[in-house]
Amino acid sequence: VRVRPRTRRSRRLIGAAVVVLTLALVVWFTARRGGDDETTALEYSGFPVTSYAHDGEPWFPAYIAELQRSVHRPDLVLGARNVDVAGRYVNVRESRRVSDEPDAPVLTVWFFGGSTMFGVGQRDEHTIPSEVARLAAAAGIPIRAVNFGISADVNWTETLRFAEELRSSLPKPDLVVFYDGANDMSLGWQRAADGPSDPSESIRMPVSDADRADFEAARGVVADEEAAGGSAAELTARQYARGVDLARDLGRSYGIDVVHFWQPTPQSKDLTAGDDGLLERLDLSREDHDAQRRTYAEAREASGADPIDLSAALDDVGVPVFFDFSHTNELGAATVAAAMYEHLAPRLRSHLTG
Amino acid sequence: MTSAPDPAARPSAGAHVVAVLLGVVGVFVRRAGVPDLLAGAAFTGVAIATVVALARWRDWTWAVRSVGAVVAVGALVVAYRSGLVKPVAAVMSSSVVAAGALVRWPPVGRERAAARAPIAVGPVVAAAWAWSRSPSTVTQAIWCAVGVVLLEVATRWPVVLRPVERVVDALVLVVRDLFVGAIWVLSVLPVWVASTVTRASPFGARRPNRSTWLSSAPHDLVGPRRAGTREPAPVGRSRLRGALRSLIVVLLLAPVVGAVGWRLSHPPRELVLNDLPFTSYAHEDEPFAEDLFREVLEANHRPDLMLGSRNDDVRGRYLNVVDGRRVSYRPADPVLTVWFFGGSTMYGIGQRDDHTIPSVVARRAEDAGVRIDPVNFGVSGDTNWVETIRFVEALEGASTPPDLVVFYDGANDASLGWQRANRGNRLLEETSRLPMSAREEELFTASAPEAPTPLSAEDDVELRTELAAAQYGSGVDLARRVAAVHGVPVVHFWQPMPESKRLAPSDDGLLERLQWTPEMQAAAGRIYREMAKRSAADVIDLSGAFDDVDRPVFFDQSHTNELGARVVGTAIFDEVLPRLRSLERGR
Repeated sequence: VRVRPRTRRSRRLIGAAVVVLTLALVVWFTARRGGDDETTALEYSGFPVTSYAHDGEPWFPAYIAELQRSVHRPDLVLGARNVDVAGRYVNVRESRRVSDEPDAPVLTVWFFGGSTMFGVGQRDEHTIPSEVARLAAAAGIPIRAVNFGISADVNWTETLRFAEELRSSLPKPDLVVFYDGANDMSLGWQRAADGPSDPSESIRMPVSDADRADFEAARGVVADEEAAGGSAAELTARQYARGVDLARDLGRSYGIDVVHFWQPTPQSKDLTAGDDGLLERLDLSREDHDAQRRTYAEAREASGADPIDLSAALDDVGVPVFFDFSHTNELGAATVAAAMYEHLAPRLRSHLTG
Repeated sequence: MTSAPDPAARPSAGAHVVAVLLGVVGVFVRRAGVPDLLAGAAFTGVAIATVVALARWRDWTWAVRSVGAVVAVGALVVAYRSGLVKPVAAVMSSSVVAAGALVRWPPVGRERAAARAPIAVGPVVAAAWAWSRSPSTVTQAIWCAVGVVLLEVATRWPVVLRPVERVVDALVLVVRDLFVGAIWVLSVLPVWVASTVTRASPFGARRPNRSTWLSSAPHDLVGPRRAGTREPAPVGRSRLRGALRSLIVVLLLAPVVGAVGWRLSHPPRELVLNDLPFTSYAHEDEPFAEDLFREVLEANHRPDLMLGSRNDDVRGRYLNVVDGRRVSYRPADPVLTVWFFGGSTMYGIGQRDDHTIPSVVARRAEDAGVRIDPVNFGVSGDTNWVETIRFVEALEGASTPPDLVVFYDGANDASLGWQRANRGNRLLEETSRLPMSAREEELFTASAPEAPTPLSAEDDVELRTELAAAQYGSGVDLARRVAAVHGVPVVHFWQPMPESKRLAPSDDGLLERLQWTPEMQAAAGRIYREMAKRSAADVIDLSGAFDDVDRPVFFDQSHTNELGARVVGTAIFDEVLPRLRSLERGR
């Protein structure tokens, strides 16, 4: 008689345990499935890959998948170095992105920059260096475009790469192009957000979680994105100015022509009604956009480096070009390259005749 | 647990909570380290306040809860001062979850839950251990969940975990007694001693005499007087006076107890630099050396993603760093500014501020009638390439360029060449730097384009010579080019090393200390000198600067005592004096 209630209670408990276990398994499988979906869903720099800004680019999803398979090896000073890859759309040889090259080039141009110079968003033959090389070839100046672009590089790290490459066995270039702004400003915003930061110090972008931890530890202040702004323009300007000065010093020392460009970003764009999609994609209000636009322009001006300002180069393109906070589709790269080439053409001609 | 023995014979739930919390906090504090005496004192003050609070309220349930809260606050104080809020918050939150499982979330009944409490101790300790090994919120959460599940299982099916419970019960008793005992010694004992000396109860009651204190002490320690005790209840001013005395006692004793606690938890570190213990070798005439070394070991550097580290400012008796630069001897009204770059040997490990190489150069120059302002940019671990980046960073941002720049290298450059050869980072055209942490060691290894292949001894020597020479040559070239554009003269020196010294009888102790044979020393010396030659940098070679010194100068693989810095400083001064005179004339 006394055993029955216990048996019943035990059964109830076992039943409850089975239900709980089943539910836990269902939740686990669902979560796992969701996680798998997340990892397999294509996205780049935190944005899903959609048809936005890629209407005429059916190859883009395959391209991004290929791009994500390319890797970097760490570097204690520079953050990272490109690792050679051979793909359908993205090829890297001897750590440099492959560019379009005409037969018998007569001038060599080195291109330095971050991912926008490397050509995230473009196939090898449509990156900015490739487009410039084609424009130059069409004008009768065949150039060898050497693309040293690497994701997350700021001007200071590019300049140190430049210094390192000048000591390498590569033939010295006739002209060197630096293309900056997006990463430099982003770093300035991060530094300002992390609390007091010494503008006389030059640093690079953190490229991993561990880097980020060191980045914060160096300041002893936990990052506060809300605090962004303030001295961001000054931090950006002063580091950029030091990099430009160093590159120009090296150029003078080696007798190499050096040109600096200030790149266009979504924040620097003069907004039109057609940019609503972009703002929505970036989750950026018009007010925030305008504030960031002012800071971006202020950083360039305050640097005193007087780079060639291409920040409005994409203002008049009537269709979407940016697909995130800095990268463009191939139309964007071609437009920037055309604007860049306008400034480079006289120098190239001068080198050719000289 | 229906079959549990008399609950009164077992540790109370409150004691378990205290043990668990203290255990978890103890693990954390051991890992993070109390940053300084003030934090230690604050933590101990909180502990003392806890004891006082416990004694004032008899509601133990409330007191037990307050223990958790107060200890948590104390730990967060330490965490805040350590700059480690996130890890502590995670550990403390897991403790709260565990406490919930132990006391506040009884699955059947409070008494039963209390009896099962020890079951959750294991997972909580494991959680703390897992965190200390590899901080992870997920791991922490999993362990907490395991604790809760075990508690549930133990309550519903006591037979399953009874053997485990007995073992854990015993362990908990030991852990609890240890931690509570330690807290008692650190917190209760000082209060008791103070009250005995002042003849006043810290818990509010004025004791008429010693015998009354003794008779009522147990009550005082566990809570306010209960009705029926022999002592009259304190009222009005006497209660206020007692509280004030308690406050004074806590304020006076907290720093002392904190200092004792700090010393107990941080026994004096054995003085070890570059894996070599500090001894009197090479410091026979330097009574300050041991204290100087302690200051060196306590000086902090902050990580820098590109350069490895930057000097934090330090104020000490022998070692001072202001604005990231080691303080140097500076004559009145200097007319020339000289920047000095180098690693730890330029920074001056082994010398007091006024006896570093830049200070020696400044003194010698002053004696020669040239007053220079030496600016010491030396940072431990710097190779020439990193120094050159520091130089161009400073130069490009400087409102006034220096009159002269001195680079002093060799030790770290040779070491980097050796490490790169070992790890497979063998591309001569690339530059790198020494890793400054365990994480950077991993990155350094991962930075190699391919896994290192074994080399013959000869090839290995050749490769590391080439790597060191190539990078050094690049750095020298970059510094000279940039300096030339700015019209700043630059002088590079190749520093002396134990392997580059002509051995004297006084070096027997050095060889023994480094565990080198004379043959090993000679072979290493050849490689080291070859690196400078192979760089084609045409630098001023000071590698034989100590050849004629017949007293010990090196105390490890690169650092010297003040005699060594004096010899090197004088040699550098002799080289730069003509330039200094010329620059002074040009003013």
